[in-house]
Amino acid sequence: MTNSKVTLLTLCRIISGIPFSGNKHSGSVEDAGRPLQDLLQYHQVAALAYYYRKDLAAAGVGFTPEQLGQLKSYTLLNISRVMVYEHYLKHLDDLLQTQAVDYRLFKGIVTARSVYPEDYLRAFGDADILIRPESLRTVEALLEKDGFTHADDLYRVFPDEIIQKYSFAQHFIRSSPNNVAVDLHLNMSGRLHPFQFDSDDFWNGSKSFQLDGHELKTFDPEHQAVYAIYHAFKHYFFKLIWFIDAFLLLDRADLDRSKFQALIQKYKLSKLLNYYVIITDELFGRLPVGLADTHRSGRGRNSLINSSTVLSGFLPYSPSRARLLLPMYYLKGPCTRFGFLWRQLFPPMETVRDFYVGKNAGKGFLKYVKLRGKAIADLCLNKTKEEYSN
Amino acid sequence: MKYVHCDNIDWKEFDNESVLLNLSTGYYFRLNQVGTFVWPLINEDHNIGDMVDQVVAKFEVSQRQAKSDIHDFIEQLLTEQLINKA
Repeated sequence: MTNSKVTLLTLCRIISGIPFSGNKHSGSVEDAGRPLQDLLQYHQVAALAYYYRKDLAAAGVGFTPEQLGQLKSYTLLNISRVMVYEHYLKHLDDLLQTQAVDYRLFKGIVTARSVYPEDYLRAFGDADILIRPESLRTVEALLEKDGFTHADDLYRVFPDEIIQKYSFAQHFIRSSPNNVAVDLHLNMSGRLHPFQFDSDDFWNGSKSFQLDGHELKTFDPEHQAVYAIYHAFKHYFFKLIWFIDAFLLLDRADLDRSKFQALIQKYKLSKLLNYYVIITDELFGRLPVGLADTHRSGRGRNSLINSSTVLSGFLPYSPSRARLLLPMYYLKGPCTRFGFLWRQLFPPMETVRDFYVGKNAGKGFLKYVKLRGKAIADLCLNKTKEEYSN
Repeated sequence: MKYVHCDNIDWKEFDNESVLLNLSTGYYFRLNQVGTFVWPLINEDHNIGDMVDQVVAKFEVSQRQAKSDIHDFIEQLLTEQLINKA
């Protein structure tokens, strides 16, 4: 195991309180793999590494003064980001309340405030907000009036009706006076994702969240935990911070375990949870208390995704293949898996028209066959120019 | 001369350093250990002479050096609209 991986694994064990007794660190934190600083930032755990630097040193994982200086700078950057978002979210809450817009704040700052020892330990780059579809125009107008613009991301090439039809998140950014990004979600999962959530469930499963005197609303611990596991899957499990999020959310004392398990059953996430359990057990040396009654440690190992591939920070496949292959592991039952595979390879002609051709391009079957043939060939040849990001 | 913090400034201390955020301009600043020590003194009705004395008492620095550094620091804080003259 490389020194970088030992460092990350030791960090996980400090969080879980289970000492790491595997390969020992060989002195220098640099090794032939990805540079440690790069890896810590990629996994969004640089501030955690700085916070636990004394525990890491006691476990034999020390940093050079230069590395510590970089980790501290990163932590101070996180602190400033938390300050910016705290102020902006209070302001946004006032704006939304004046228009009587109901919303739920989730991920990012909520997770940071709910389960981390300090909020700056959980790096985040945007504020995720669930709104009702009928509020979209109002919220867009409020944000635009407040200096935001629609981010020029992948989905902006599609017209509004397509964005709403497939429940794509709307990404808004503002660069002055502060860099702030707001993601508006109309649903908890995009319509094309293999797992589909009932958003009403999340709306109803809410609780209050205090942000310096402002009472905001977020999801209850059980919905937060379910979403954290889904979110890690959605991004192919490749950032350690998502595992830490889920671990801490499931390790909290106020989690209603039976309610959490009921949600896992309802959304057919049990197989996905089993893989999460295996990787979590490898990373943290124990299961979070929320899973201790229902799952056992040390069972099975997934050859495609395991703790080692997660820690490496590299996808072992292209995002196109990941979108197709991972659900084959995590969806429950052959019929569900085949159904998903079929929909991915041969989506309805309407979907292909929506995404690749445009409404006025006709409905020709030959056109459909040609497009799908090209997409499948590209997939087989691993020919994709997509870049992975979160 | 005495000074006060401007409105709309947020400040957080961390590990002997701190972050100053000007909510009006959006700029944030990293203060070193001495800046972090001096920042709260500004709002506590101290003039530059008081601040110099306190810095000399706390850090290993000459009166002359401390006076020069604090003067520069105050000038910079004024330029960045982080403090006003009281």
